[in-house]
Amino acid sequence: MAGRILVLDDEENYAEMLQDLLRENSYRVDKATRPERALAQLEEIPYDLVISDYKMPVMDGADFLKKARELYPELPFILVSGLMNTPELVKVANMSVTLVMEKPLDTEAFLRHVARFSDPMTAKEKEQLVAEGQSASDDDAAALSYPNEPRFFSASNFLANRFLQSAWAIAKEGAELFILEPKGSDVELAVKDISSWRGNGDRPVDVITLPSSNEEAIVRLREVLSDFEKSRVVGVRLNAVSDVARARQLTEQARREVEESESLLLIYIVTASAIDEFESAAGESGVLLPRLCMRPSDLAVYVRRVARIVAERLGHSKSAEFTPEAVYALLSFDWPRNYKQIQEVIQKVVDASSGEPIMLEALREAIGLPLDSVAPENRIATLMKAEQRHYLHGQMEQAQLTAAELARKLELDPLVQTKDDLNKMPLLRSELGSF
Amino acid sequence: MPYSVLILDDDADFNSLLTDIFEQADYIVTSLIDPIEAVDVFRDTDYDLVVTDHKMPEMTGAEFMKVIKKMKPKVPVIMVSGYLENDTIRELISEGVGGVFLKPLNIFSLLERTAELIEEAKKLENAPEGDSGEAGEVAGVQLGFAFRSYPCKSGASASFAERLYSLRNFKSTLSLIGEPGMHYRSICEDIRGFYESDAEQFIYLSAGSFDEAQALSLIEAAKKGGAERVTCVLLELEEMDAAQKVLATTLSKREGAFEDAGVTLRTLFCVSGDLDSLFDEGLIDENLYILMGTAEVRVPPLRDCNVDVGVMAQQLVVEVAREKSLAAVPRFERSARDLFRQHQWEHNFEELRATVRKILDDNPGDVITHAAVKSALKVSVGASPRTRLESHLSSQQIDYLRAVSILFGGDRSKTANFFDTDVTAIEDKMK
Repeated sequence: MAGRILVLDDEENYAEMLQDLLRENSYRVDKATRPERALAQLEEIPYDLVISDYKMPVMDGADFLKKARELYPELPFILVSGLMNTPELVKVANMSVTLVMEKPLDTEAFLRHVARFSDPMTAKEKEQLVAEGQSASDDDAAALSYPNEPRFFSASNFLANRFLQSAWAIAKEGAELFILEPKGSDVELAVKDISSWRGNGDRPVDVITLPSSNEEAIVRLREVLSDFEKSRVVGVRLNAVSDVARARQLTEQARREVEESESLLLIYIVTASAIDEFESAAGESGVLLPRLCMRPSDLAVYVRRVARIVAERLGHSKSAEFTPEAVYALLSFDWPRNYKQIQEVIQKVVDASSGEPIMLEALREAIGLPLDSVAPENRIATLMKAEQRHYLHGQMEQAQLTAAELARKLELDPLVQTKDDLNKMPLLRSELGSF
Repeated sequence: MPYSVLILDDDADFNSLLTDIFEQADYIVTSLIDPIEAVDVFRDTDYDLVVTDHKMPEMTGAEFMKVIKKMKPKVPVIMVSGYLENDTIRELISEGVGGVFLKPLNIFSLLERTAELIEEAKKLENAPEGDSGEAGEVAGVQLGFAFRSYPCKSGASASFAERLYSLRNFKSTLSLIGEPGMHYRSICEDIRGFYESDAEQFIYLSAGSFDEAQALSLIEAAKKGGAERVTCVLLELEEMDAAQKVLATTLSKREGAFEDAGVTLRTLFCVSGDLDSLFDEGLIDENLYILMGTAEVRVPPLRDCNVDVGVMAQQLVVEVAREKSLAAVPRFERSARDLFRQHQWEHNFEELRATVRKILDDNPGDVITHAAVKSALKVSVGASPRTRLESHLSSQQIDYLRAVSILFGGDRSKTANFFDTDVTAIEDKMK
C-alpha cells in the first residue's frame, strides 16, 4: 500500500515544486512550510518519508530531524538543502540523517532515492483517490467535490465521503457550517481539512467553546484572529442544540464587527443531540457526521494510523498487527465514544503488545467490555445484520417512525410490527451474507 | 557481554590512541592498519561496530565502508578523520555512515555515539523482521503488451486482455462473445496489435456488405500487402442474413472459394448474446454453433469494469472534443465521474459513446457537472426507500471488506481467510 511523504521547506515555492515533482511520479505527498506545524502533522499522520530543508526559521533541519526521530526512531529523512558547512554536515551525519542532497537538486538521483523509502501509488490506488467512495446517485444534483484528498479526516467510507462533500459544499464559500457529531468523533480532523481547503494552509485551527454571551464570543474570536499565524477557520463547540440560534447571530455579528470577516468561517459543532431537532435548527447549513461504527473502512484507517504511530514511537520496526479475532472485534464493537475511544484503546493495546500481534483478550481488557467472537464463515453475515439493524434504527429515529411504519415504507414483510421484529429480520438481500 | 569493535587506521599513533580509548571503555578491540586485511577480517568476524580513518593509501575509508556495508549492512560504521570534503560527508551519509568525527577528536561524544549506534542495531536485530503488512499489497495490474480497447484498471478487463494475449495465435477460429454494444472492432485491432509483422493482417467483414466477392478482394489486398496469414473478422454475425451465415461457415472452414486462397486463413467471430440462446433463437445454425463453440472468450460488460469506465469516458471526451475542435478538453467533476461508474451500461460502449457525445453536444464548458451527466443518463432522481436501503447495504458490505483488508495491511490472503473465502472472490468484490 502506498504511504505518504511529507515535504517541508520554509520557501513555499520550493516545497510546492518538490510536491509537484513527487506527485507527477505518483507519490502521495503533503507539504508544510513551518517545522513546528510539520511536527504537529507528524504526530497525527504516520509518514513513510520526510523531505526537509536545512535552513529554516524557528527550528533548523537538524532540530526538526531530532524531534521527528523522537516520534519515529526509524523515520527515513532526506535533507534537501542549500550550501551546508562541514560542522552542519557532521552534525546531521551523527544524527543518522538518511541522505543529504544539495540544491539545485539532481531530480533523477532524488527520485531514485525516494523510491527506496516510499512506494508510489498504483494506478488503482490513484483512481481510488480520485474517486474515493461512491456518492449515491440520489445525492443533491449540485453536489460539489472537495478540492483535494483530506489529509486528517478519513473519508474512505461512502457515508463519510458524502458527509465531507456536503460539509464542503456549505463551507466552500459560506460563513458558517453546523455539524452534528456523535460523542468523541473525528470532527476536528474534518475541521482541519476544511481550513486548509479554504486557503489557510497548515495554520493551526482553534476550537473554542461558545462563551455564555455573544459579546464575550466576539472578544474570543478577535483574540484568535488577531494572530495572523492562525487559521481563519474557527471551530466553535455549542453546549446544546438550543445554542444554534445564538450561533447564527454570532456569525452575523462577527461578519459586521470582525476585521476582514469575509475570509472567516465558523464551524459550529453540536454533540450528540436529537437529529430532528438539529436538522430543524441548522437547516440547510447543517450536516450529520455518521458514527464511526457505521464507517468500517474509516475505522480501520484510524486504527492502523494510531497503531503505527504508537508502534513507531516505541521503536518497533513494524506497525502493530491484529489477530483475525481482534480484527473482528474492532469491526463489530460499536465504539460509543468513537474516534477518541479508538485512540485510547489502540494506544493501550499497542503499548502493552511489545511488538506481538494484538489479541482479542488485550482489546477486551482495554475496552473493558465483553467482545464477540464469530467463526470466519459467519463473520460477514453477522456484521451485515448488525449494519442492517443500525440502518433501520437510524431511519426510525431520523424520520420519527414506528417499526411498523418503517416496515411499510421499506416494503418489508407485513409481519414485521415491532422493533424486535426488525432486529430479528434476516438480511434483506441474503447474498450479502457471504462473498 | 562486552561489545567488539574493529578499528582501522594506517597511522599507527592515532590507531593506538583510538584503541586505548575503546579498550578503556570496555570494548574488545581489533586494531588493523591495512584496509585490505581489514576487509577479510571483517568478513570472518562478527563485530558490533567499525571505526575507520578516511585517508589511507590502499583504499579510502569511504571505499572501505562501501565494501563492508555490502557484506553486512547492519553493522554501524563511524568515520574518524583529520579532514573531509563536504562531498565526501554527503556520500558517507548516503552510504549509511553511523557517525562522522573530525579531529580534534571529542572522545566523549565519540563514545556516546558508539553506544547509541550499537544499542540501535541490537534493537533492530531483536525486533521482528520487516514490515510485511505494508508490503503485502497486491501491485496494480501490469500488462506486458499494449491494449487500448479497455484501460484494464479493472480485474475483469485485465484478465480479458491477458486471455486474448495468450490465445492470440489461435489456429482456425476464435469467438468473442459479449453483450450488445461492444466495441469489437477496437478489441480486434488490439489483437492485431499483438503482432509487429506485416505478415499478419486482419480484414473486417460486417453484415452490411459481407459477400464472397468482398471477402476475396480484401484477402487479395492483404496478400499484396505482404500477408502470410489473414484473420477474417466477422462482425455483427447475428445480424447477417442466411446466405451470409452460410458464407461465414464456408470461410471459417476454408472451403469453396476460400480453399485456395493462397494464404493461411483464420476466422474471428464477434457476436452479441450467448451461443446457446442464439442457437435457440435460430440466429445461428448447428454448423456455426459448433465452429464458434470451439474457442470462445467472453468480452466483459462495462458494468463489470467500473474503474475502466471512468477512464474510457475521459478518453471519449478527448476524442469527441478533438472532433468538434473544442478549444479545451472538458474534465469531469468527481461526482460526475462516479455517475458514469455506477451506471449499468446495458448497451455498453455504444451507450457510453452516445452519452459522452450528448453531453458535449450541450456545450458543458470546462467542467462536466454531475447534473449534466445525470440529465444525459436520465438517472431516476428518487430511488425508492427500499432500493436505497439495499444499495446502502451492498456499499457497506464492500466497505467491511476494505476495512478488513486495511487492518491486515492490504494482505489479500489474510483477508480471504478472515471471511473463510478465497482470494479471487475478495479481489472481484474489491474491484
